[in-house]
Amino acid sequence: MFVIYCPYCEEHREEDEFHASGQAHLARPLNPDECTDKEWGDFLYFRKNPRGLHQEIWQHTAGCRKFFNITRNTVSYEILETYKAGERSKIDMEKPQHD
Amino acid sequence: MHSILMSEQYAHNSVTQKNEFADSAIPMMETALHHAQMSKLAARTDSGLGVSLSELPMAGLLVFRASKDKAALAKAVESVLQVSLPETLSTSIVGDKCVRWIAPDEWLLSCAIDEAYTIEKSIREITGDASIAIVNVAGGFSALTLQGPSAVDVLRKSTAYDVHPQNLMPGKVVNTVFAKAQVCLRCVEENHYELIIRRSFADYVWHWLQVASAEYGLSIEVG
Repeated sequence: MFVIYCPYCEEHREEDEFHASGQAHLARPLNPDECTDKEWGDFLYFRKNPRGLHQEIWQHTAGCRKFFNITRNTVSYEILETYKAGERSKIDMEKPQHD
Repeated sequence: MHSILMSEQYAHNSVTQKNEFADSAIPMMETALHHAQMSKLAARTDSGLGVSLSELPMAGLLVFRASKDKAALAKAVESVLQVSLPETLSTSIVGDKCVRWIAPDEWLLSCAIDEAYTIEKSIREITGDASIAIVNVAGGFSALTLQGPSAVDVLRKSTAYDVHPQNLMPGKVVNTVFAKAQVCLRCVEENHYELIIRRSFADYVWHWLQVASAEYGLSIEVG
């Protein structure tokens, strides 16, 4: 079980209250009409599945119902940070993490 | 033969209902647990047991929403209700009115049912063109109160939220899971909690509470 800090409720809550909504920070191509099939397909269907750090969107479905971002380690399940939608991560994703 | 009897019975019922509400300008309103006949149960259960449960009478419930024009809404609420919009996880109370924080851009007001329209109208007049939303959701929710020394034990069994009095103190409101339903849970005062649940989940929660409270002794009170 995760205990997740909701950046809107400003409190740690049980995982029961949340719903995971997949990879965060997916940039939609600015002009879809000019995309190649590969570019559009990558945006629409292909997701990371890393061993280690991963940035995800979660929603506080049973609480304030807001979407926010989580950086977590998929190996240790450690949650390094949660931050509001539209904010930037403070974690350096390139830096190798101990796990 | 049976069907004729049945239809006579129904005809009889509908006549009594018509007579009963013939002079009333107010439409017939029943709380979600009307059929449980709380007042009859109240007469049959002892009082002062571990937990006492009551269903609150129909109240007016208004949802306020505003993000960009939050200041305009706050100003209007302040002038109409004489309270400020509550901060994160808190409530603002004046008389029988209570404003609950739901999300950074959402609040829930409870008031007397016949006041809801006037309040909505006054706030709309003050906010004018500001980008806000007010929705009357009175028909969609049901309110229960749990009181008594074991009320907190019943909550502990029902929700994953930390309901310890040091964490859920008087004046605090949280939206969380309750059994398999969702609840807007408020601590009114020590050993006194208010649960606002979806009307469609009222029966489920009512049955859940009866079972969860059984070991502490459950008394029913009229809300």
